[in-house]
Parts: sequence; C-alpha cells; structure tokens
Amino acid sequence: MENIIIYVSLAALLVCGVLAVMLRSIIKDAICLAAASAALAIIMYTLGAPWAALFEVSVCAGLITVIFISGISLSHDTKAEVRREYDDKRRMGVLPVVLVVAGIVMIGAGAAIHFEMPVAQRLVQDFREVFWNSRQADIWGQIIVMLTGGTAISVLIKEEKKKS
Amino acid sequence: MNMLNLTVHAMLALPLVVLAANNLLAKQTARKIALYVCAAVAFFQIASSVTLFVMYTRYGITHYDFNIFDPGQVSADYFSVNRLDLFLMVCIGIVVFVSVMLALETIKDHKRSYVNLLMCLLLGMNGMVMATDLFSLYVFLEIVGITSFVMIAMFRSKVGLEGSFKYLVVSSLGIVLLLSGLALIFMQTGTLDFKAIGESLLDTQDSSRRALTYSAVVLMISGFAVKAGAVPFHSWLPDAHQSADTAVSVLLSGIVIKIAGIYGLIVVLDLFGSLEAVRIIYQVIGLVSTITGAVLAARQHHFKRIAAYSSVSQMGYIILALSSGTTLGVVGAAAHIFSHAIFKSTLFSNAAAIHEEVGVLDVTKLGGLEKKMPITAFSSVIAFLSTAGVPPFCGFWSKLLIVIALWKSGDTVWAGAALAASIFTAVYFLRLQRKVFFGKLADGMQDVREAKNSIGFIEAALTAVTVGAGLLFPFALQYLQTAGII
Amino acid sequence: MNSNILIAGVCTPLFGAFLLVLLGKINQKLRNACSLAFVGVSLCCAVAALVSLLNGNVLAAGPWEFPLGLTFGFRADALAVFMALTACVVSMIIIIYSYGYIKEYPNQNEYYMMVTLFIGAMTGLVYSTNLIMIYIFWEISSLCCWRLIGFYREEMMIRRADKAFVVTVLGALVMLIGFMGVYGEYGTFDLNVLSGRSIPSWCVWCILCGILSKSATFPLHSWLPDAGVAPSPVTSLLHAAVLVKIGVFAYVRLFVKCFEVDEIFTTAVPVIAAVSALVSAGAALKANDIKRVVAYSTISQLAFILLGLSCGNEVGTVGGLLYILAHSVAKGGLFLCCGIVEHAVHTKDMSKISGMIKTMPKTAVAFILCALSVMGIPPFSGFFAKYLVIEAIVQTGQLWIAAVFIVGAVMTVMYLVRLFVKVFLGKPSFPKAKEGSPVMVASVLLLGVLALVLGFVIAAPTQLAMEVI
Repeated sequence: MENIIIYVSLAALLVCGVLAVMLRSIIKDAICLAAASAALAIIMYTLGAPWAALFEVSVCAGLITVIFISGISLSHDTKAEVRREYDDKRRMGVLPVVLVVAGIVMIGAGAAIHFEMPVAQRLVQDFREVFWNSRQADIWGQIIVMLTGGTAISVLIKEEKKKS
Repeated sequence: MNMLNLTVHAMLALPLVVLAANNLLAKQTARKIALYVCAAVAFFQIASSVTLFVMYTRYGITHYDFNIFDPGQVSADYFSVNRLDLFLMVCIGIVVFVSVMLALETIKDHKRSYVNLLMCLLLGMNGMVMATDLFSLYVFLEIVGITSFVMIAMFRSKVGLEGSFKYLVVSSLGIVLLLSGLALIFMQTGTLDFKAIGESLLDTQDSSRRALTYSAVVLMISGFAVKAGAVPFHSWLPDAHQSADTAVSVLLSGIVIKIAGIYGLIVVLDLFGSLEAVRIIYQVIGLVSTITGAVLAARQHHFKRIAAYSSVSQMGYIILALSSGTTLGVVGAAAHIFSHAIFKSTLFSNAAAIHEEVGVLDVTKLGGLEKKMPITAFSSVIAFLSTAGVPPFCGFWSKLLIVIALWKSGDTVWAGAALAASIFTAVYFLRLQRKVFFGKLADGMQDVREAKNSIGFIEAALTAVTVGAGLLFPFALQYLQTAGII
Repeated sequence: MNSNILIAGVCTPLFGAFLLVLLGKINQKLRNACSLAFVGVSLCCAVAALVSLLNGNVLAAGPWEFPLGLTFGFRADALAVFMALTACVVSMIIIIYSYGYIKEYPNQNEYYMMVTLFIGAMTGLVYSTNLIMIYIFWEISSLCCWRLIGFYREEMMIRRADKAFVVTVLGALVMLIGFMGVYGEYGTFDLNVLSGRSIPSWCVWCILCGILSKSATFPLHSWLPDAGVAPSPVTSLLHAAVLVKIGVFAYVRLFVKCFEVDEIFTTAVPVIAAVSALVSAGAALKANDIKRVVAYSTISQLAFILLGLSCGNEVGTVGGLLYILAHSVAKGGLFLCCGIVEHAVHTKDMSKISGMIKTMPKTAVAFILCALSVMGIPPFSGFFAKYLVIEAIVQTGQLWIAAVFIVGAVMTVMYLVRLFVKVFLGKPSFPKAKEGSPVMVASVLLLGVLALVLGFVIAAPTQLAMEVI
C-alpha cells in the first residue's frame, strides 16, 4: 500500500514538474509547482519524515505559491506568459521523453544491481532538540540564507520601484 | 582565548552588521561610505587571519572549535577553524578588497545593492570554510550560489540575465549531484559530520555498501567540480564572467570558484582520500582542465573570456595538486589558490581599466595600449609571467610546489605533463599581450588615458604582492617548515 | 666580505635595472651612464673573483638552506669567472654601441632596463649553485629576450618575439622536468651535493632539450634567424654574444663539471651538433639578409662549441671554452657592423647593398677583423679555439665527425667571404651613406682589435680555462 502511494506521488511529482517548466502561462506554472511540492510532501510523510513534510507543504506549496501569485498580480499582468523567443516547443517536447527514458534506465539499473539498502536509523532525539541544540551552525546558516534571499530579491526588483 | 573567540565570531557576524547598517542608514550616507566600510571589513579579515595563523603556529594550536550561540560548549554541529581555513580566509579577504577597489570606479548606480550582496557572499564563504558538517557546508554553499547569481544579474541587462541563468541552471545540476551524494552517505552512516564519516564508511567489506560509498564520492566530486568550473562542467564560466560587471567577475574567478568548488574537493579528499579512485579522478580532471582551458583560451576574442578559460586551466592545476594526496599537495594547492587570486585579480583589474578608459574589451579592436596605460601594461605583463609560471614570481613557486608534490608522491608523468602544459598558458597570454598592449597603437586610441585612482592603485598593489611573494617565497617555505606543515 | 662581492655583482644589474626606468624619466644621459656603471660593477666583481681565484681562494656566497632541496648560493669558480668576464666585457662594449644606435627610437627606458636586467640574470646564472636558481635566471633571460626582440613594436616582430619566447620557454620547461628527475633520484637541487653523481639518461635528454633550445641547435634553431628583426645591439648581445652561450655554459656546468652521464652522449651530442653545423652553414650560404647570414653562422659556430664540450676530453673542454670567448667577441662585432650598415642604408637585403667599403672603411676593417676570427685564421683567437676543438674530436676517434666539421669550417669561410664581397666590395650602391656615429664605430673596432689581441695573448684565457677542468 505504501509503495503504491509513493509511486503515484512520484509520478505526480514528475508530471507536475515537467508541466511547470513547459506551460507558457506563469500562473499555471506556479500552481503546478505547488502541486509538485504537495506530491513531494506526501512522499516525505510516507517515508517517515513528518516534520519535513510539514515544512515542505507550508513553505513550498503554501508560502512560495502565495508569493508567486501576489508578485504576478502586483505586476498587474495576470496573463503573464513566457516570452515567445524562449518557448521552443520542439526542444521542450524532448524533455518528457528524456525523463521517461532516464526513469526506465534507472529502474532497470536498480533492479539489475540488486543491492541491499542499509536500514535507515530512526532519529533517537526529538527533532526540535536536534534542530535548536545540535545544529547551531545550521541555524546561523538559515538566518543568513533568508537574509540573502531577501537581499537578492530586493536587488532584482529594485528597478521596478524606480520606474513605477 | 577570548580574542580568538571574538575574532572568529566577527568573521561570521561583522558582515551582517555592515549589511544591516547599509540598509538602515540614510541613503546618501550609505552610498558614500558603504564601499569603504566593505574595504575595511576585508582588510580586517586579512589582518586578523594572518595574526591568527601566526598565533596558531606560535602556540601550537591546530584548530579551534566553537559554537555560534553558546560559546562554552561545542555541540554536534559546530564551526572549526584550522590553519588552512585561515589561509583561505586571507585569500577571501584579498579578493573582496580588490573587488571593492574596482567597484569604486566601475559601479556607479547600484552601490548599496552591491554592498548588500557582497556582505552576504562574504558570510557564505567564511561559513563554508569553517563548517564541520557536510550539510552546513551545503547551506553555506547555497548562500554563495544565490549571491553569485544575483551579482551577475545585478544590472538586469539581457546578457547579464542570460549569463546568470546559465550559471544558475548548471549550478543547480551540480547541487543535485552533491545532494544525492550527501543522501547516499547519510543513508549509510546516519550522520554528516566530518569526523564521523571518514572512519565508518571506508572499512567495510560489504560490496553493496562500497558501491554506495563510491557512488556518493563520485557524485560529490561532480557536484563540486561543477562549482569549480572544471572540465567537463566548465561551460558556464566564460558566459558568467563576460556578462558580469568586472568587480563581480573578479569575485567569481578570484575566490568563488575556489571556495565553492576547490574547497569542497579538498573536503572530499580529506574524508575519502584513501580511496585510490578519488586520486585518479582528480588527476584526470586536473590535467584535462589544464589543457582544455588553455587551448580554448587561445581562440577567444573577449578579454574576460580569455581570463575565464584561464581560470579553468588554473583550477586544473590546483585539482592536480590535490590528486597527490599528500600534505605537500594541499600546501601547493593553497599556494596556487593564493597566486591565482593575485594574478587573476590583476588581470581583471586590467580589464576594468581598459573598459573604463577605452570602453571596448574585444581584443581584436585593441592594440598598443602600453604607451597610453603604462601601469596597466606593466601589471598585465607581471600577471602574465606569474600565470605562465615564469620565475621569479609567485605563480612559478606555487607551480613548482605542485610539481614537487606530485613527483614526491610518485605521479611523475602527471607532473611532467602539467609542466609541459604550461607552454599553452604562455601561448594564449602572449597572444593577449600582442593584441592589447605590446604593439603599435590601434586606431581611435589616441585619447586613452591611464586607469583612474583606485584601479591604478590596486593594479600597482597586486603587482607588488606578486613580486614580493615571489622573491620571499623560499622564506615562506622555511616558515612552513618550522611550523611543521611541510 | 667575500660573499658580498658576489651578491653585489649579481644584484646590482638585476635590481638596478628597475632604477633605470626612473632615471630615464629624469635624465637620459644619466640613465645611459648608470646602465654601463651597473654592468661595470659586475665586471669589477668578476675581476675580483678572478684575482681571488688565482690566489687559490674561491669566492662563495651562501649556501642558504631552504626546504625541499632548494639550497641557494653563489660560487665563483673558474668556469663562472670565465663566463662572467666574457659576458660583462662584451656587454659593456655593446651598451656603449647602443648609445649611438638606440638614441632615436622610442621605448629606450625599457631597452636599457631589459639589457641591464639580462646581464644581471646572466651573472646570476653563471654563479648559481642550485638547479632551480639556474632555471630562474634562465627564464628571466627569456623574458628579457622577448621584450627586446619586440622593440620596434611591429606586429610581425612581436610574433617573432613570441615565437622565440615559446621555443626557449618550452625547452626550459622540458629541462625543468629533467631537473625534477634529478630531484626524484637524490632529493635535492643543490649542485654542491650532486657533484659526481650519475643521473638517468632520460633526465639528460630533457636537460639537453633546454640546452639545445637556448643555444639554437638543430632542430630547435629556427627562432634565432627570425629574431634578427630586433635592433642590432640586441641581436648582438642576446643572439651572438651572451644569451645563446647560456645553453653551452649549462652543458659544461652540468654534464662536464657535475654529473656523470652515460657514454652514449659523447657520440649523440656531437652528431646533433654536426647536423646543426651543416644545416645552418648551408642556410647561411643561401641567405640574402645580412643579419640572417650572420645568425645562421652563429648557429653553426654554436654547434662547434657544443662539439668541443661534448667530446668528453680535456682538450675539448678547453677548446670549447676558448671558442665561447672568441665567438662572443667576434660574432658580437659582426652583428654590430651589420647594424652600422643597416642604420646607414635602411635595408638588410644583400642584393641591394654593395661597395660600402668606400663610404664606411672603418666598419669594413672591423668586419674583416671579426670575420677572420670567426673563420679561424691565425693569429686570431678563433683559430686557436677551432684547432683545439678539432683536435679534441680527432682524439675521440670519431674521424667522420671531424670531417663534417672541417667541411663546416670551409663553408664558414665561404659564406663570410661571400657576405663581405657582396656588401663591402664592388660599386657603391649608396654613395651618400655615411659612416656610423663615432661611438658605434669605436665599439666595433674595439671588438675587432680585441679578437686579434686575444689571439696573441691566448695563453691567459687558456690558463683560466684549464682551471675549469
């Protein structure tokens, strides 16, 4: 039962990811990204990482999609589309084919090699304990990443403010 | 010990203070002093790192572990500063300083944005060299990546966005490879701590576990090789360099590809160096990068593209040095990181000077500029000789160290090939000199004047460092010997 | 005190060269005088070292120990003093000649700086006791050569300069691989420690690559005639008198004085030299550019020198060293004469020039003196040198190589006579061409007379050369 959920979610993840890249309307791309994140969250939960699934759903599927959609509506261009010159249907059409073939090859290789997956160790400590106490360097890293992301976005959209 | 603690915390926190100040102060004040404050921060980093290095040697300290929030205790994931990290931080400081000097002249409108991003980049690089856990390494690597992308695209020109996007896509590929490698390691050991990984992973007879470890190592090397711009992942380098502002190109070539890429490779070597496969992969990537970068550089028309391919070639030398697997090899690699930072910064300073004064960087249109820009021409000759490994400049010594390290570890053929490949470096640089400086003045260049204040100053300073480091290198070797490193 | 003399002798021109650029901005005459003075200091130090040597005391500086086998030091033994004296004397005369030749061209500061730097590198090279030091000074001389050949800044000339740089640097890199091989065997680069050791043959081949490229021996010789686009004092200094002697000096220093090499090289190297001598003599007979003729002649004479040194017996070594001295003086003079002719008529094409003896008799006299020395006519110094070299090769029993060299010597006479007849005799094609400036003429006459005088006092240099073995 678990395997079926994982395979279906993986398929959904793949399909939504490819659609997010290939569709021309930017809003549809954002929504496909959200769906892909949701599929990933399901996989995470099924594999035994509830906290990761929680963060994935709330941040990627939730927060980021909200930011995308508000950004698009702030630019007053709901019909925002990828520019014609960047949309090459012939080349993009190759993408799903490549992915499917790669997937078949990898599954075949995995079946052929027959290795034993090592048993993953369950975390003995509580997640919160690990996050706040054991991984302080990462906390600092996270803070800086968020600041950096904010800085990056503000630099990139600075021009907009000046013009409008 | 208190000063030590304060200093290393400052490395990780001071840029944040500057970042905050830059955004909270009034716009006019911030614009005026921001770049000078950045220069001061870079200078502080150089000075404190050198002081700490000397202190470590004096008191026999090999490394210092600390936590960012609880100074007393050291938890599972902490920061650690050893002498190699200090040396790399000196290089980081130098290149950031050079970049600020160039930005004083070349960046007119976006000073505050540049300072913001630069401080984030500095934080990311410092964090990377101090990390002791593969995941923290990855987090800080992402910081470096994000800031690099945006710095390239900062001016939102079409070519800038395109170069940045290319870098983004190829870099994401590298990150995916790296994360897959990390996942495979975590799967087996349940931890990503440097100390815990090395011992537990390698002594196992189980063939499937060995296969997983080998796959993880190959994936990690590929990921870092993408970041370092080594062949076959080098295609993003020329476009990224060409489309970015010169102050940003200096950062990219001078330090980012080394910290993001080469330092990662050093970490992999540290953890898995006893595997023969790692050394062989480094040898092959190293030699192929050296030759490919040099051959491709000989056909380029744009000054900065020549410099970019030159970086690919020099990264090859550094990776070759690492392939020897000995401490002397790492010392040679570190020395070459330093030499490359200096001579590549000089080259990009020349590019900035030419761009500012002449406006065009296509070498087929330039010619005979040495009459009009003597300081720029002189520094470019010194940089050329240092890159090509001509004595007595520091590039020669670092190359010699690399060759000696390779020879001592038995890789004599690779060492000989690396030496012989130096001639390719000379060939493309001779072409650059012939087309740009060493010849008759091209049409339309009559009114060209020498590079302005900070660019001229930094060119002269870097030349002095190249010459000084070259003349004093044997003494540096003596110091390292007394410090017990070689 | 002792060590300071050597250090001063090397460092004065080496570091003083950079001072010349600043001086040149203040006063040109001061710069010119200082350039000569710096080289003069080197000469004085070499003389002091000679005096000390004749008293039985070898001057030395260092050794300064550094890790990884890099033990640096200077040592003024007989070979070093011989080469230093030759190089400094000829260089000083060439610098005096430059006063007249260069004064109307731009880039003079760089010219004097590079010439002085080059002399510094040469002195450093001959006194060095460490393989890496030899390499460092070797490359500094390549760098000076590159800048000086491209003096006139025309694109074609820059390409030729680049070619010379690439060929000599590539040879040097291969030589460095050879040095690494020695390091791999013995763990040091110090010649004092390595004295008398035997090294693997592949190392010798690699080091030979460097020597052959620097001393323009077939097949790495093509850069030399092309480098004739440089100003004549440059060609004289670098490509006749001093730079090309670096290779053969290294041969003596490494393979005669220091390492034990396999027997095969006493046959292989003379063969290479023989081929080089013949090929270049043939090319000299056919060339039409006056400087190319003299350049091919240089290649041919260098092959003679290499032959003498590689015979493996004492006569050969002494003969080779004397030949270095005689050739530096005479060939330097020949190139300078060509420079005077070219300066006056602005062409190097032999078919266009004739009868110059009417308008520039003094230059013609100097030319004759130098050419006779190169041809090996007694009592010029060149005769004694050539005689000793041929005797040496006969002693080894390889008579057919001796025969090739005698053929080469005959061809030398032929092409030099051809050059003289075409350029100086006959109806004057440039009746208005004037004699060179007094400074230039004085220099070439001095060299010509020196070539003759040395022949008379040949005993003195011979004695010094015999100290070498």
